Amino acid sequence: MKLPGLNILTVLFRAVRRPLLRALLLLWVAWGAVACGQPKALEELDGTFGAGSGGSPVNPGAVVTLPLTSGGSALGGLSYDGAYFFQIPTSDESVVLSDSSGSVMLIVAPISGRADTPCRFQAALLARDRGYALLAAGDRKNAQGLEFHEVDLGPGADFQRFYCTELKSHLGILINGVSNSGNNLGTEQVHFVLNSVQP
Amino acid sequence: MRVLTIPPEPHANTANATMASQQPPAPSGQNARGVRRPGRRRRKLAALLSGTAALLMMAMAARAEPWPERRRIYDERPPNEYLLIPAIASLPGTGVFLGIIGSASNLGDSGIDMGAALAKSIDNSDITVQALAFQNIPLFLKGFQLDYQVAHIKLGNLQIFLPGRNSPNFTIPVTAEFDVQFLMPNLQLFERRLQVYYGLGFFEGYDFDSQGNEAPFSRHSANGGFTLDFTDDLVDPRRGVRFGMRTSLHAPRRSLLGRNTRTSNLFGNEEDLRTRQYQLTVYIPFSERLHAAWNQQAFTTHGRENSEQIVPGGELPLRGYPGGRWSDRFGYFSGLELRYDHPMNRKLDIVVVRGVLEGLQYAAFYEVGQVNPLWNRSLVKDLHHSSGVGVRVLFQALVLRLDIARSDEGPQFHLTINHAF
Repeated sequence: MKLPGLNILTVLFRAVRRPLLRALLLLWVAWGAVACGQPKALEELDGTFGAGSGGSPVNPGAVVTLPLTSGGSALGGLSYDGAYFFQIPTSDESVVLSDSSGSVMLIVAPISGRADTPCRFQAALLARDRGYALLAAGDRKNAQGLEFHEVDLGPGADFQRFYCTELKSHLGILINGVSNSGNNLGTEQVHFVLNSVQP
Repeated sequence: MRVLTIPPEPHANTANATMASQQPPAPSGQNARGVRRPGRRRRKLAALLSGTAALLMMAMAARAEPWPERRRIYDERPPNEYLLIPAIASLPGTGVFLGIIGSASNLGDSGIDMGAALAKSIDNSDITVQALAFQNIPLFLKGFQLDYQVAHIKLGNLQIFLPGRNSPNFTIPVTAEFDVQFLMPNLQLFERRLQVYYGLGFFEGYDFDSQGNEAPFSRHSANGGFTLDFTDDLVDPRRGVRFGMRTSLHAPRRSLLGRNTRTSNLFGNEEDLRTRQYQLTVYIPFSERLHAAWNQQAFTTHGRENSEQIVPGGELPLRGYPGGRWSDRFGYFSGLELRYDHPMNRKLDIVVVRGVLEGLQYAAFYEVGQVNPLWNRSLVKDLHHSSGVGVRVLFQALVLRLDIARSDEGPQFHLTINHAF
């Protein structure tokens, strides 16, 4: 017994068989030609932040815990080594931490919507307007199991990293790490702050 | 070490954190509107080049027979021909879709065409589209008709690019869900050689307020324009000239489609911008089967001149890049496409397809373009290049197009309907 569906396919196929096969062969060859030599992709980040390496060790006796808010409501909190970082006062809900030598700065600001959008947006702005190179991007988890989207930018006026995570529905924080050296942003002190973030 | 500032509200989901400024300073030698005043020698050179280009264009237009007979009279198309097929579509910069598309022409000999699509992305863009369109609904006067489109669109993970000439090859994810309607009364005269239209769009969805809460949001948009089409066919032209101009217009706050709510961060307040797009295409036949299509496009955007933000007025249609890759206040595009026809003329009358398969068409194309925040010579410097090949299935008044293009950012794969120009 012949199936009507097979008849339809047969009629369609016979109608276009030879020229279509030639066209597909041409396209296959063309695809092979254009698909080679693709530009280099960004390094992809994954896994966890880890404890960081280098810099001063964290002093457990000097840990300060800060609340994080958005629109007056609590989002969560983070901690830092008060013997290494000091807090610069701001007029809004952002938190600015700097080390005493001024070589590392962390800016924490509330965000809304999906977390990776502002992170990638800020990084793209710096790449477009200030000549930074985009080095790496991806998702990493902190010690609390929170997933952060991270984007690393290479030498412009300095080195910058953006970390974004959602703490409540549609609300979260963006942490912008700024330093004159890329290594300073991977130290134990910085990773201690990242690993301390929790809802 | 530089201390970063936090200016307000740059983009959809970034409620409070902008840590980079927006626009590079204007080059010297420009007036307050950012337009360079050319010197006398430069003006002479510009006039000479423009004159040469105009002469070349006229010569090509003469070769293309500026007022050719129509190969096919659109208003005399046979009634009730249709196509209902599962289809794959690839729209670089948006996603790769799997779905069902339906198309029916001249329903009941009324002149009305209908199209419908149900599609879902099969890549990581997580987009679903449900769309229905009616075209050529006759109104009271001959040549005066109405088009209406309605769609429900869910963007789960759309990837967009920053506007600007120096925009990095780095995408920003966007999530949204909305309904959109489009109403377009239009006048088409002289076998559709002259088309004048007004388009009214209405967007209805959600956006985030300043507290980060989702809130209902709706907004009108409007545009208008005209097309002069002196070609031998509307759908698959092979000789002649086509010119079109389109401009954004002030939109009403309420209409029969709905009523505006507040302004949006997600799509920006576009009411204070005026974008105009100009397009000229010359179709030049070389032989019975081989012809070329040469397309020139430019767009200009005025408004918000004092803003530090880069204005995404228009975007380049370069096929070697994802859609929306290059956008800015001003833009220029030029494309040349060679098309070789393989006629078939086979009548198909089976359950899902009824109509004439006119043939296949092979194409090779090369395109250049650039965007710029200013209307000056930089617009034609350091042009982006794109080239590729393609094949098209010509089914009745429908062109199914498959293009493979490449640029310095890699290859792109297009599977869609209608010619690029």
